[in-house]
Amino acid sequence: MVEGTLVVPRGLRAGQRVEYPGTVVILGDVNPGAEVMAGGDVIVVGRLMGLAHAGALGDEERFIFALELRAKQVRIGPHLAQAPEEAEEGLGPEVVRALEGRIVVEPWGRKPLP
Amino acid sequence: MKARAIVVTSGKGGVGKTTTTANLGAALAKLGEKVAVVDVDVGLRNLDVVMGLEGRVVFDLVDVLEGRARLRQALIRDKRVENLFLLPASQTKDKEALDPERFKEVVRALLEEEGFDRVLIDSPAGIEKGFQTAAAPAEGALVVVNPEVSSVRDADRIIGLLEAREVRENFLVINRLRPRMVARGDMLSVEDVVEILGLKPIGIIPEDEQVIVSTNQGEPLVLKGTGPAAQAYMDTARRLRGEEVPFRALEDAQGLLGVLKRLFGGR
Repeated sequence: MVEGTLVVPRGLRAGQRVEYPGTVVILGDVNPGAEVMAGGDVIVVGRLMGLAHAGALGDEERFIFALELRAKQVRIGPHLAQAPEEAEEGLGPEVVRALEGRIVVEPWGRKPLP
Repeated sequence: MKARAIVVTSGKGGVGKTTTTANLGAALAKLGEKVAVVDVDVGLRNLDVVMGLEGRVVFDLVDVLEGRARLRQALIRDKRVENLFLLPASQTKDKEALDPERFKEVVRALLEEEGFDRVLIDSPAGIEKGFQTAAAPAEGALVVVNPEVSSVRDADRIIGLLEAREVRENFLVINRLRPRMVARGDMLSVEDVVEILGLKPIGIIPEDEQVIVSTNQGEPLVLKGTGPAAQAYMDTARRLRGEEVPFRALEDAQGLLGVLKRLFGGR
């Protein structure tokens, strides 16, 4: 189920929404109030502050990558997680994925991407 | 700014669009430009009230758009400062009466036939037809934002819409900043706002009670010319004209007093 990749060569502002059946790469910040819905993975080369949904068509093997993860909520396949109240900042690039039905956030680079 | 037709907008209501339009209009006129301020908030007009010109409104923008009045009949000259004119909105029609193409024509006529140097367009709140019309003739925009998350969110939305309309020369006017609250971490700072929105500020206006007083008296603050907000609006107008004006250190009187008290261990 490879649908290709959509590269968005800029950030997204509030109210802007990108929907694509494959993987979406955003070259910029995803601001609060912006939305990225991808059937594949979501890769944000910038700060993710808005809503991202990877595997939006139901695939829970998908991941979200962001240089800086500041989203209030993330979604992978059918799973959803809210950011903790006191989210730490400046953790560097992170990867979000679903493991056994739970959403897990890890620093990027420790494990190869799936 | 190179743009001569500039829309003053924000998305969110109540952040200071009308006050900003009135004061920058008056400030630019004081600096020698021939300025028209245009109220597009049809149905909820108040630029005329803030400028104290309510009693002189005979014809309005909708009359001009629909051919019941000529542009020159509807323009009201402000007697307190040379070269400042108001084109008022209609109180009784609604925003459906606005035709963006006709409005573009009106703004073009102001710049090319009536000899105005600058047209400031006071946009209604929201992202619907009123905003679309106000933005239609604009070459640049001043996005008024309060240092507060919902205002920043709406400003971001508006900037996205402006960019989609190819309005390119856009700046922030950060309004109602309270330096003491920022210092305590209780309010977004200028840096926070700029970081999210990715636009340069052209004006930083501190919260100032004089703004409310002058609004109620119907006299733009810059025409009386004292106090931090009046100074900040004059600075903004100068920057808009391309002058290099540094941003003033924002420290309100009480804040300064607080620092002195702390320094001298006052009671």
